[in-house]
Amino acid sequence: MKIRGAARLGAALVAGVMLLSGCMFSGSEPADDSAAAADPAKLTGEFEVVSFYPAGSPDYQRLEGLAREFEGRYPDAKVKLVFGGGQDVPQIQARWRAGNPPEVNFGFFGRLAGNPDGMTYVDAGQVQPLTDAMNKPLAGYDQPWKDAVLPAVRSQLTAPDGTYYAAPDAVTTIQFFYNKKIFSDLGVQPPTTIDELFTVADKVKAGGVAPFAVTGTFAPYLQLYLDYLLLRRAGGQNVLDAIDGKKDFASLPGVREAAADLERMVDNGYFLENFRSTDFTAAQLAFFQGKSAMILMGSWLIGEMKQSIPPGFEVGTFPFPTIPGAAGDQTGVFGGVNLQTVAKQSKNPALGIAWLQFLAEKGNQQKFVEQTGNISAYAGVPAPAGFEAQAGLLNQENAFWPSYFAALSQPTAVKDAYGVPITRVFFGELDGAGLVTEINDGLRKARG
Amino acid sequence: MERQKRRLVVPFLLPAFAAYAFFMLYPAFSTFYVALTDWNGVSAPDFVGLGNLTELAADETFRSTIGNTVTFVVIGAMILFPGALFFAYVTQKLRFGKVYRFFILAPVVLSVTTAALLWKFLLNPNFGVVGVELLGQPSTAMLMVVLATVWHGIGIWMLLFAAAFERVPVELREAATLDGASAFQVFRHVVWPLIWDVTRTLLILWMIQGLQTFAFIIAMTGGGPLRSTEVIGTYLYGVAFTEGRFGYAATIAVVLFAAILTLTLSVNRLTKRESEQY
Repeated sequence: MKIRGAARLGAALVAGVMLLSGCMFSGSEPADDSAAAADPAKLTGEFEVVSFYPAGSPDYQRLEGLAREFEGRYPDAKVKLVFGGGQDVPQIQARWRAGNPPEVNFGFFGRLAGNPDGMTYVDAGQVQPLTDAMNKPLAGYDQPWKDAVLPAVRSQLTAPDGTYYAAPDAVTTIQFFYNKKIFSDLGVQPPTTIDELFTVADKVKAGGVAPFAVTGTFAPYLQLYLDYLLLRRAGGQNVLDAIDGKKDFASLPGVREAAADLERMVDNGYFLENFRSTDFTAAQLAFFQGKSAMILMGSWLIGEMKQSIPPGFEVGTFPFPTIPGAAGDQTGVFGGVNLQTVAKQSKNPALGIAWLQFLAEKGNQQKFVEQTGNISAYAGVPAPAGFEAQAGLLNQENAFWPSYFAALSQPTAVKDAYGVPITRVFFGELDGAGLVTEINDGLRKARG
Repeated sequence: MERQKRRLVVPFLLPAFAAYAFFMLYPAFSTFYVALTDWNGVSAPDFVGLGNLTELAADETFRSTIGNTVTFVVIGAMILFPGALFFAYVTQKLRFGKVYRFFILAPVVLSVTTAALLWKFLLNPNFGVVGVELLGQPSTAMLMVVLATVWHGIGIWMLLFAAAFERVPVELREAATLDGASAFQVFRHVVWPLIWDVTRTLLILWMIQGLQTFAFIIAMTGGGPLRSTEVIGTYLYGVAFTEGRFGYAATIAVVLFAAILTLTLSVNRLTKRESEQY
């Protein structure tokens, strides 16, 4: 009798779990696309906007100001800001999965709502298409919204079928930052070629300062060096193809030379002392404390370190030097587009779209650049001082390459096949030739 | 009459059982189900049966995380248990023993993140107290994480051992001392056998805690350098929340659960001794 009772209880539990599992996975039907074409006069109600930065931060304060302006324009609308960066990303993801996402979500297209596989949400019908809105004129421009976006950024907004699913918020680029005083004291100029970079690094080192600040605790930042060397010597598409398993890494032109460049940098002792134990905040601090002359970093650096930059510190930037005669992309720049999407399953997607259009207006973009020092993704908006060269590259359709060759969103085996050997070179455990062999063999194995 | 009483109790138990079922049983059973699927957390899951398990068997990173996790548990036990026993035993006899115990216990009040960042700061070769790269070297990083973890929690273990010592009758110790036993001999032959049941329980608890270790590693090393501190917990988290492979992550969780269950039962059986009555 007891056994039968237990069996009944077990069966009931299993049935309950299966029922709940069914509820969990069933999801809901995508909302009608007509939300995008809603009448602006009917833009009423509350909607949520995810801020990647927490309350009190300059970016959050900017959003608060914009929210008040938006509410002034649409008196029946109410903006609610929600923190969704850092440790709160999983919370936003959970809301997406539960079918209750905020209207406007911060997320890279390759990683919508923090997920590396951005198409996951598109394929599930959870992202509001923006094509209709993108084809309409944008305030401050005499052209459709999509055409106001810089050419190199535009391709980041669409799915493979050409549908627009995101609007750009800001652009980040990766370049060298340098300490103008150290350069001036040593009588050196920002290098434009790889040979000049080595010459400058030698002079800086001879002057008792580490040429490059770098963190050893976050492998992708080590990877940036080889990424750029490969971009210049082998070409971005070739490397992407190798990572995707379409080409043999070792067979690409210029990979051995790129690996040799990296080996030379390590052997010459160009990197910050004890970088292996230095996290990225400490590495950035070391640069601003004058312990290193240069740092290869994203354009977010100045804003991120604003509180720690000593008064009078003059920072300059220069693009990663070219390699004359090499077969790769000499004008390519790595970077990312901070994208915003509208959740189709949210309560008020039409308001979400209106908000994104509002952010994209030229006046708001100009204020955005002035207030945050970010690079705008829109044409006709001047770049912040020091980033003119990199921003200029974004006028070329194919100049923009995904940061870290998008390796971060690859499966662990692929990510490690590419990233671990690079770290080993930095740690002095591997030479350039070994680097090429290990990446090649590793990618081949990871891709089957 | 008894049957009537039981019938009366059932309605009162149901709300608690419903809450337990929803918050404990449902997630647990769901994990077993998700482990049989290829699920990205968004789309409907594809049932793949034991496919994830087959993939896991060939997953070199996962294999290395097993080694790292075991290393963490073993090194941690080697430091934690002698340390906790030592402090518990010695502070029992010292004049200001309770004050010492307070200081040893104090780190427990810090959150794991705070404690981890504190250690990270101390171990920074440029502005910390040690001028050597200990967290940045694959050969020493795990030891540093273990030390931080043990430092943070040893006070609790010390207190539990101290409570066990208090239970040992003073007469037995005095009798042994009068018979000429040294302090170590008293501990080894009188106290130790009498607190064995507590030691055994704590060993099992440490194994469970160690196999699930996560927070200190995420905060101090992120699993690096060169994945030398990547453990099952951190790998599971990365697979789920970085790669969006919730089915595969659930399989790792199920394997971890099975490993903990098996090891716990094994250790429980292997260390079982006749309880000393006193």
